[in-house]
Amino acid sequence: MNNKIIQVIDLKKTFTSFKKKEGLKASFKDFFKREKISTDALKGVSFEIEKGEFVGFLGPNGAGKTTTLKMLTGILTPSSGEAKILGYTPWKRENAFKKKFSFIMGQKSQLWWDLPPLDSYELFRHIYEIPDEKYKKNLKFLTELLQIEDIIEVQTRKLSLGQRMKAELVGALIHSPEILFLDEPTIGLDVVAQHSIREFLKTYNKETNATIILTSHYMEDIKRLCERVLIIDHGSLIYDGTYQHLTKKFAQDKTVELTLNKKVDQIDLAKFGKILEMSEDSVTLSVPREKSTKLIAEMMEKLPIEDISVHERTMEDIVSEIFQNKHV
Amino acid sequence: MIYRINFLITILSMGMWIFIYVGFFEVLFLKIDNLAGWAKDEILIFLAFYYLLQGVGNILYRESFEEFSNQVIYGLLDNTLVKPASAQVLLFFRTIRFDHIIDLLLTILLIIYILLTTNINLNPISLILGIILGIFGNLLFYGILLLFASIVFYVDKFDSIPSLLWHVSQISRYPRQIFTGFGKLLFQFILPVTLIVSVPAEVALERSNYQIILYFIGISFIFFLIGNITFKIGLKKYTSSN
Repeated sequence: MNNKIIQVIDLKKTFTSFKKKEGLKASFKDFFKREKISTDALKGVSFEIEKGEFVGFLGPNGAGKTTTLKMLTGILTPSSGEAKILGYTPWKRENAFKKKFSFIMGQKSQLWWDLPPLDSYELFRHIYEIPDEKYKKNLKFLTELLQIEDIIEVQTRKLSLGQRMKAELVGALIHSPEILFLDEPTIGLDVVAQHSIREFLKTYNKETNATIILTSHYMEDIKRLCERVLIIDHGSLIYDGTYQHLTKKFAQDKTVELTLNKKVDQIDLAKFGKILEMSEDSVTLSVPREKSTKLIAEMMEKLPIEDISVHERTMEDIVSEIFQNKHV
Repeated sequence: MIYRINFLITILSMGMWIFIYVGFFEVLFLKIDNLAGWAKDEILIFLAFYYLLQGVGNILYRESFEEFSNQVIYGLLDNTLVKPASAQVLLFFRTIRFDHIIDLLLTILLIIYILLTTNINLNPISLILGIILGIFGNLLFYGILLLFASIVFYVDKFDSIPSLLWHVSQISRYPRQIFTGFGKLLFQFILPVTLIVSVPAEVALERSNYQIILYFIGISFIFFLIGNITFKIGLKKYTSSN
């Protein structure tokens, strides 16, 4: 049986805009003759996704992640290429197709700002033609899982960002979509709220076998949730594989930041790793991932440390390395 | 009712306008006998039809049209386009202004005022026919607005929708007979905004003919259709925004 519910073939999108030169005189000239700029947001992206997969879609700003999701949900029409989602062509915008997915944008709310989320859910119940019993059951399940039973009757604009995102998730899942597209769902949230959303998505994916495609700038989101990662940069897909392979190959080092009580000789610091930055009382080192625990223990023992923090390499670093190397 | 004060202020400000316009015509007819063939009592009936049709538009779709351009420019259509329902219904009937029901109540008050202060005899059947044609008036108004609103998809930015809406509404406030020559060609055939209120009011006052009624019904459907086609093609050009 073919389980590939998303099939994307050579998807391209070009946006056209006009150059705006500086100054009043230039603006007057532009009024009569404008200089057209074509931007290739997507340059022929192809991939397939199977039912139940949790896929992370990564890339720096302007890489084409959101554009891809917007085409897969039918918001944008591509310049060329094909896509089949559950057998539907997204940009034909058939209602039968729209009932099968949900799209959550971290920066765009689908809830009515001046109304409590419950009113928006009620509207969604009618739009998605959800039977009464199923609606009540889903609402109970989702609000309990996200622990927001007590806030769904409060006006959306009075909710915190974290509460609002949880309320958005309930609204997006109230009709039990088969596919969930998430565009930066944890953007701007504090670590507690990020963790809570992640846990919810993990549980939801397991319990419902829904297919989830997630874009995020937070490596942690991808690390905790996605087995498979697609990396896009400058409109081209440059990596399609497991997260483990990605980190093994490209995030081989961790960054350790030390605040020191007294000055330490550069030679002594270099024994622990590559020095990235150094000042009188602080140093940033790059240490091999597999030896990091042992090396940090040694540092604690041998160096006059006042404070220490350990960082993973950022997604931007990894993507930019992949892109610079031009191979994966 | 979370926003009670806002609701009450809106009601007061709208009610005021109707009485200003009635006063305007009362003063005008102290100096003239008729306005382009319309007697004072007929003009007041015309005005009642104007407020009735405007009231329906104000309740159902006017504010949504005013917000539409910004929704396109700032990429706010995204959430609407993924919903399994008519995009037009979700966009242009997004904000239902229940406070504008006062328009309809004040229109009824206006009709009572006309019946009390003039000698006009309205045939109930003609009045009902006039109101039914008012539905086509709203269809025509909606079609024209949809056509204008869809321009935003083709030109990237189009801030003039609210003012265009205002102008269309202003022109339809006067009987079509006022416009002659190029004005007649423009506002009865090219952009037939003067028909929106004139034809239903004429039918209610039994001063119409079947040719203009048929033309009015036909042109209402045509503009509704053109508006829809322009909107559908425009949606394909939607570029969203991050």
